[in-house]
Amino acid sequence: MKSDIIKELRMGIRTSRFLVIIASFLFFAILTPIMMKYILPQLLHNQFQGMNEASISQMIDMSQKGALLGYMSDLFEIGTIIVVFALSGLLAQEIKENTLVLPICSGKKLLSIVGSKLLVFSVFLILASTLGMVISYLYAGILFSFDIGLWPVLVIGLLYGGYMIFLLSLAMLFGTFIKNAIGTGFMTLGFSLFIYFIGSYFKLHTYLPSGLLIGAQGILNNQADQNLGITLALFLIMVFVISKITLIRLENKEWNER
Amino acid sequence: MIEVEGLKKSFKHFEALQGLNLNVRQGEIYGFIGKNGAGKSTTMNILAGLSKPTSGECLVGGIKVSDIIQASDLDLGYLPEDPKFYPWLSACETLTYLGDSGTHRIKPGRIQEILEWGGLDKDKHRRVGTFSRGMKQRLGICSAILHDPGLLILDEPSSALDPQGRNDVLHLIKGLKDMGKTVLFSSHILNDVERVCDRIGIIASGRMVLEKSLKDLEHSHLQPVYDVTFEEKITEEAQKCIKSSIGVLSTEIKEQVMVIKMEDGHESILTLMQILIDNNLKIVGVSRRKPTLEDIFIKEVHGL
Repeated sequence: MKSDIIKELRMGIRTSRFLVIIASFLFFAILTPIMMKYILPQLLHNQFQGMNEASISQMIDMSQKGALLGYMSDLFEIGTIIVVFALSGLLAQEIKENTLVLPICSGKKLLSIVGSKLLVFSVFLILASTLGMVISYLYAGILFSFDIGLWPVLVIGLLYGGYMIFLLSLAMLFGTFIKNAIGTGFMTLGFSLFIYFIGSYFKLHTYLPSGLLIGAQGILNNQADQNLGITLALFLIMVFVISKITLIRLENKEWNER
Repeated sequence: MIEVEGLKKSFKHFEALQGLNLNVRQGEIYGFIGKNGAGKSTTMNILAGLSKPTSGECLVGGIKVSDIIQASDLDLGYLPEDPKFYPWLSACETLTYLGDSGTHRIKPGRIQEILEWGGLDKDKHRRVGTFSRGMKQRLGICSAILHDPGLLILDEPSSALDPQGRNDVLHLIKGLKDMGKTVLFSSHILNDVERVCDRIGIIASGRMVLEKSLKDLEHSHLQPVYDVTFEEKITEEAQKCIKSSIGVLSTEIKEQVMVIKMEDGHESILTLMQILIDNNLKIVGVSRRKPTLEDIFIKEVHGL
């Protein structure tokens, strides 16, 4: 498993997957507070001539919390698209290009191959998400003021990272069906939006991974979700089940097809 | 080493293998010949444990292929037709990665040894993405022998390579025989097969049409055709005389060389020599024409 982990780390670095994800997270982490502090008020001021600063600040939550909520929204809307498309080829591309044939013939276990992908990119997503959240917290704190503690921000980072892990496991599963990175990306994105829609429409977020995002917003608004434990447990079960199905599909696959 | 009987493989509406029989003996280089689409790669995928047969018996090193859980349960090294590596890993990193698996572990220094054997020592730190096709094939062979298996299955290792690349790969395959390995090697380049193989099998439409050692094959397909080189240009009179002799079917003249085709049963060199002596002709050389593998292949596959 050690060599598989090293290989995944090298892939993340040398194919720039890590760079793309971390750059996008940091871009939004830095840009969102600036947008809220300078650009958005200016835009509103230009749009509605004569509007004073007090009225503008009533329209926008110009605080550290507001900036963090804005960052979280950006992360869900755009960050997930970047994460999904950066990681959609993780398995799909390997199947399509037959790069797993030699490792399998050399005695590599599929469990080790899938497990190391999940482990390396999960840890990375957790770190990237938490780092982005901390950067946004610090930057917003400097621009506005430090109204909230660091601990809830770290928890929010972990919860967002958890949601990204769910997307990662989905992308790996769909990759075994579609074998095309772009198609896998669209399917993963579509499915994740569908889950979010179901959660919102039927008020089922507690039982779905999208509940992690709702729970994170609750923590920031000092309205901690009592059912977050259930959401976390179900999220872990879902990631395990999805990964197990991925593994079964790979074990029953015929390799080196033309 | 490999025993295949009645092997069948179907893909939806296409039957790729229709009861193939194949036998590869320990320590030999077996050339598996067939046209594109004849079923060579399908057979090799099954033998390597990467694909499951529809029916038939398939034993590799005494292990039933249908009973294995994963490909690495078989003691073999496999090189696919177009081996795919991670372009962002170097040759050394690739072998280190492939060499470290839960089931097989390689001894220290093995990677360096293999890289030197494969002629990739100087390029070991270069990323595989920058390698030529020939270098990738050599790296593929290196990865196949990394765990020191007794059997190697090489699918078209020399195809799509330039003459130098082909020569390098064939040299490595010959080296495998010296190491005591059994090699099953497929190709549609018959010259390559002739250069390295001990025995061959010809597959057509998913069936084995011929399986023989190269020596037996040459012997059984020898034609009663002689190329006779004369000291001087042969006269028309002498040519007529030879043509009318008993047992001679036809003659053809190319400068000082006469191609003489004999009837079956008159193919003895003595018969021909007697005719030439009777005609008082000065001869520089006589050789019986050997069939090329291409001639045999066309005859067996197309019945020509």
